[in-house]
Amino acid sequence: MIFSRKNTEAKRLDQASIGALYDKNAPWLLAVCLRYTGNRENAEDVLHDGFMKIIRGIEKFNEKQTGSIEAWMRRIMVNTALNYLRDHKKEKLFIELEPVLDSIQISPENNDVYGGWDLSKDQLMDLICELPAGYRTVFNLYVMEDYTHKEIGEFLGISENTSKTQLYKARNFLQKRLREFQTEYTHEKTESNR
Amino acid sequence: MKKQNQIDDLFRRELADHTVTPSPERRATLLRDAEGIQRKGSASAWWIAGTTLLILAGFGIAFFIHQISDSSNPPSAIQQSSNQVPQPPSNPVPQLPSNPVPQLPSNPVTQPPSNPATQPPSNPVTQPPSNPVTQPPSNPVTQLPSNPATQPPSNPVTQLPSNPATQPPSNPVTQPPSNPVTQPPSNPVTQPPSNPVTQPPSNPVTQPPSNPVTQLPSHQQPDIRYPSKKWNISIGANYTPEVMFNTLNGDKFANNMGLEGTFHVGRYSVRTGVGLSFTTGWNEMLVESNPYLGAYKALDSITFAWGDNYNLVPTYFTKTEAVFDTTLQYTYTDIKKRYTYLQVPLVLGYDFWENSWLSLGVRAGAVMSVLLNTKTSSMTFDPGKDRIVQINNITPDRIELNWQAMGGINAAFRLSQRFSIELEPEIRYYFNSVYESSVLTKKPWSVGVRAAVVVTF
Repeated sequence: MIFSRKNTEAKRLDQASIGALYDKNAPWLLAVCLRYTGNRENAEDVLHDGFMKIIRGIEKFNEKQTGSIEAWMRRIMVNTALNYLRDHKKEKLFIELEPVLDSIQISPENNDVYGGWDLSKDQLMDLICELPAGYRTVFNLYVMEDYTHKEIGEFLGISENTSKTQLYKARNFLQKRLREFQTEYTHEKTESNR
Repeated sequence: MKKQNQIDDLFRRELADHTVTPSPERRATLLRDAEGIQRKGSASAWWIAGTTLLILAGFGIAFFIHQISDSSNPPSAIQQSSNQVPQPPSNPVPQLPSNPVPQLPSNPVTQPPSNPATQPPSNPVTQPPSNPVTQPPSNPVTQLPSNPATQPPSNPVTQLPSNPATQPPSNPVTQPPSNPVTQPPSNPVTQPPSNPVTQPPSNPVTQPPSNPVTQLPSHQQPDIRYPSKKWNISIGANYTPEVMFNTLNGDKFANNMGLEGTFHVGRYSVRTGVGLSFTTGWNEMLVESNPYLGAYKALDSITFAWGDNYNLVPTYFTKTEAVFDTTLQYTYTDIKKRYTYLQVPLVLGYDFWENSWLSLGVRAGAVMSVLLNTKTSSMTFDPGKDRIVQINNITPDRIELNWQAMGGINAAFRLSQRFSIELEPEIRYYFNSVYESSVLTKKPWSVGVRAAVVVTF
């Protein structure tokens, strides 16, 4: 066991423990990074940087004060991904749309998006990666990390309305792509039944 | 409460436990980079192990030696030094054979007349050595009467002065021969037997002590270093490398150096002084900035002037305006800072064992540290053209006053009567954290080895 359950503070890791920690947690942490960065190479860079922070900070980790170690690692990885996006962005992540928002009528969301078919997790991940960076960031923070729009606004330095708009656009994009998948799936099924 | 949305539910449900296998090359890279971090820690682990071993060894040696010295009930230090000289064998001074000095026969015929002129002068040269053993009994026959008029002056060359007042009456018959060395005529009758003197040579080394040495209690024994002084003062310079633990940025290394003065009373001592401590630490900071987007030339002012064709010619004056993104950018950066402390120790000591070149003792006391100076030693964060909105210190600042308790084993190696070198492995415990608002519940502690050059007066 890497962390002693008797002690509330984690021990310093040796090489074997680091390897075991990496093997156990790297797969799901890489999925988190991939959701934010959008491509595999950048996601692995973020995973490497985030894991180094985990290794450095693990001796200060206190389960009583910080919560579960998985949640702590997840937060570090998300912060690292967001910093990476800010440092390497080629375009602005977010566009303040407050003055424009009033002129946009947000259509009611069509909940009847899919039915009767299954997308694999990799395909859903690919859809996430297709999102623009700003949409993808807000979508991940709201849906996957369960932040509120207010928290996202404070976290990213944007307004609540911007966060809502970004999420709306992300959902619309995904909705559209899922319909396209549904159309292809139906067409393939029809072709195969002939 | 968030509104239910099927797209959100779909992605949340499917991707919550989604995994992606990382490449093996990345794993190897991470383990290699992580090893560099661990090496930093293992260095301090060696420090801990070495210093702990040294302290335990010092304790063990001191305890062992103290036990031995207690069990054998050693004599006092002074007696110990005198006992180092080999004692002569207890040989009684050989006695001369009891050979009585042959007495002159009481024969009025052979007895020389009692004539001062014929008496050989008492010559200190010819007299046998003043030895109670070999000196013959004073023979009135061979001794000159104590006559101030006739007694020659005490002169090894006992020439009789040609003083008509003191010169004995010249007797042509019995005038003693004028001999510079006025040896009396060898008279086998009167001369004591020539026995070799068997008195042992007076050798101060082999002479037994005239006084029996009385053993003093240990606390009353005079200082072996300065037997003539009950107290002394010493000054010195010290250097103490120190490794700290239980700090925010992991282990820290500190360099302590200073001047000190010690007052010794017997085996007890009080040490104080003043010193400086230098340590470095990494401070993590969060920089909030607005990214730089570009610049444009903004119109500042316009002036008009009449042209040649009676038309107004404007002149535009512009200025460069930078444009920044309103989005906040968060950057975490580490800055290296160097801290300088003023340290004032007050240490009490007791030397429990000593000999001519080494003394061992325990030291304990308190140290006060005052933060004098904080200097940023590494390059500060370079925002480029971005506009910094706020800089937040994640790592707390250092407190200005800190108290420590220290304890250690002191080993003093005497090079001469005045100069000595001291080595003192020590442990320090900090009564409060070095940071203003510490997130750590444990107090820092440190280990170090004090090395000092001391001059004693």
